Amino acid sequence: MSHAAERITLDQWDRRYAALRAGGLCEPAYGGPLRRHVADGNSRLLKLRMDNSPAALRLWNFLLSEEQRLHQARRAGQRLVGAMKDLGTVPVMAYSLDGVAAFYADGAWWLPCLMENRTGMLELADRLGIDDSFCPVRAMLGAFVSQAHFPLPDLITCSVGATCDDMAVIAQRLATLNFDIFWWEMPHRRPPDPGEPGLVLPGGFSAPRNQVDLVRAELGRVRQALESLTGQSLTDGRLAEGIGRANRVRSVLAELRRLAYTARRCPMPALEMLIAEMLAIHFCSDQAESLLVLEELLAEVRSRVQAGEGPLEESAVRVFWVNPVADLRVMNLLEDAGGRICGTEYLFCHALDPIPEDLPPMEALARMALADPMVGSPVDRAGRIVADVRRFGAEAVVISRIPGASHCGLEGRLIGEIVGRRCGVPVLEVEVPPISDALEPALRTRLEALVETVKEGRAT
Amino acid sequence: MNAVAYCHPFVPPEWIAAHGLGPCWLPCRAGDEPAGPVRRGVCPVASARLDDFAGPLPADAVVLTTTCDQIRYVAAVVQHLGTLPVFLLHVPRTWQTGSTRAFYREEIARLGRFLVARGGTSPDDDSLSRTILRYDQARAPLRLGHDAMPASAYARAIDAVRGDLPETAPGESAIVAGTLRVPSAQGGGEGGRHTECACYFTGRERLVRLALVGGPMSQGDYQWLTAFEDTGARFVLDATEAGERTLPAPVDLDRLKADPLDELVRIYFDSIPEVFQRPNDRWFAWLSKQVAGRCVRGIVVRRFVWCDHWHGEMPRLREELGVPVLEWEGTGNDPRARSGAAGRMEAFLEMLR
Repeated sequence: MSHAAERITLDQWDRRYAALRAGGLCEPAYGGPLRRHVADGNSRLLKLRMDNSPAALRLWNFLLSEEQRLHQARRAGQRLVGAMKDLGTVPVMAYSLDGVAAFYADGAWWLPCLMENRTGMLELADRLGIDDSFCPVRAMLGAFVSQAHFPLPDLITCSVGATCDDMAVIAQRLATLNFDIFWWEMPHRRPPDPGEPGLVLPGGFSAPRNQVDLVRAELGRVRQALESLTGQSLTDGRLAEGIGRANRVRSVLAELRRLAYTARRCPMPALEMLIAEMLAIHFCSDQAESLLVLEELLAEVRSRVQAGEGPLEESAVRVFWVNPVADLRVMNLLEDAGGRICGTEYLFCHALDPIPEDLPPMEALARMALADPMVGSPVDRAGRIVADVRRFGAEAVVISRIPGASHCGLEGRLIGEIVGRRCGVPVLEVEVPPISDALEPALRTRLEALVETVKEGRAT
Repeated sequence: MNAVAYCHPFVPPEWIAAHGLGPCWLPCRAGDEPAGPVRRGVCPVASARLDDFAGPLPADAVVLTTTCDQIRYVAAVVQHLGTLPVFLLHVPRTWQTGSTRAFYREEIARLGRFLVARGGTSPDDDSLSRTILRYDQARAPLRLGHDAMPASAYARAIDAVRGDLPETAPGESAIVAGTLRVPSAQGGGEGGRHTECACYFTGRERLVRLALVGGPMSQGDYQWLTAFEDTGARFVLDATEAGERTLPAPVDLDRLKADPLDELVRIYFDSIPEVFQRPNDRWFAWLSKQVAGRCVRGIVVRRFVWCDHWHGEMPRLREELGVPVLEWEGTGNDPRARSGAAGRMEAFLEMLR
């Protein structure tokens, strides 16, 4: 059933869903009307405008059914791995084994947004001493302690070292509450010194050999923990197959991003693209299904690009977005202001790059993990953003700060200065709390001003 | 002699000194400077460090550590500005495995190459051992007993042994802390802390015994505490970032002889209990033991806004140490902020009496 691409409200989605069903829409088991997620507490959906394609419907349903999926996995006897502060490494290893579901426990940081602060997670974190001076990922603490969302994992891993203090502290708080955390070290990535053995990592950053060796050794410990958990041997062969599956997800996503961010007319809104990118981190607890979800989204995007269709005006200002937003609604605001996303760096660009398949698997995973933009200098990160701004032809950059996050105090000004100077584009830094309604007029005005600035520049 | 500045206890000053350079300990100034800019989301310590490195510095290079995420970003800012050579030492947060210990050792070796590039000379084992011993001897009296001494004087004495210590003949005292003389390990209890302790607290044994816990303290912070010492408090434990908690372990002569660099790793990486370590059970166990062993009746926790590490530990400090805890929050570069804390401190002391 054809339908012009547009962003629609949940009320509109009710009608759209009925029409799709009447037209013979086939859905996976987790399918259904989006409205039911509001009944489950995800009231933020009422304030979002979502893409109207069946592919987007499937994407949203896949995202919002993750908790059910994890509970089902637990009931089915699967082993659950909660990967904390690990954007894309341990899940690749976990999904190389049979009967394992890995998930991104930090993902609970979106619960306050989706449930409009009615989860009680932040209040619980407050009571446990982790107040709003911490980043919204503190909702994860409440989720672990209350067990009201995801089931308790059988193995909890947490990367520490050159990572944000918020996560390190919240995970330590969990440890003091008797949660058994498997810590693994991530060194601060730096370029090799002159004469020091080094190598280029996936994505283009470089690192000395001994850092890769350390990470490989640390991931070796993770490998042993996974083997102990499952009673299976995580052989190089299995890992290679797992890397291959992860790369298929990444390659679909890469094509999706290329098309979405370079098309003359934006074929897929920012919100859906954000969620699609997030799937690369942990596959939303079902690796095989995440691939199918992305493939359907890619097919929709291809179709729209070929037809020159899209939900936004062709004149929309091309904006590169840095850091994920705590409030999903802000992605709508950008588009309402006349912008579109043309490139992103949501803190996990390393999870989008292909994992080398011509290396021993543990070496490849170590290199990929060390390519995490957050573990290196923000100057390096700015360099990658510069390259991507140019690649996608972005006309402006928005750096969204995460309230309380240890990395956001200083990185924004540094990245903004470098990217603005080298790319010659305006840079806007905003702070986005989990619910931005109170700030919406100011955010809207600032985004509109950015868009107008670019459009005035086009005119001259 | 070129000086190399540093500001975290996991950087061994004896390693800098052994390279023929002058280790320059940069005390924290957060809260001491009037009307400094408040950077949103930036902890005042990181902010003060940025100010340190933007102005004249008594050093030609600086060593920073990854022990705090915000300081890691400060290093990036300073490197980007290019005004000062910066070495960022990765101090592993995990400590359970040989690989992270080996990595710290490699980082120390890499620091050595940085020091050589700054004009230093790579030390042989004998010269490194002698330097390690010199610092160990200077620190020894600071570990002896914990009889009361003004917190600010003790802090100055510790600061001094983190700096450039003059060469001394074997058995001779090292001169530290200006006119203070700290005895050598063999020299007994003359001078230094012990002499001053005796003068300062004689006949005042009914004072309220307190512990200082938390992140970096500035000289202004310590001076401010003096007012409370005058009214009946006695700080018998300084477990702040630059306090006795982070003094390296005593040197083992046999190990030193066998492998001086490995002994340096042992007395620092293996031995210093730190809040940033994961898990940080060693830090908490150390603190619990010290609080009990020194009959501490109350704990004053110095922490700065946006410092996640100390903020996150407040619940455990309150729940598990069994003594009252006063949270002393620093909000920015404004000495007036201390006056706001004075009333709370006085009330805390009254409660404990």
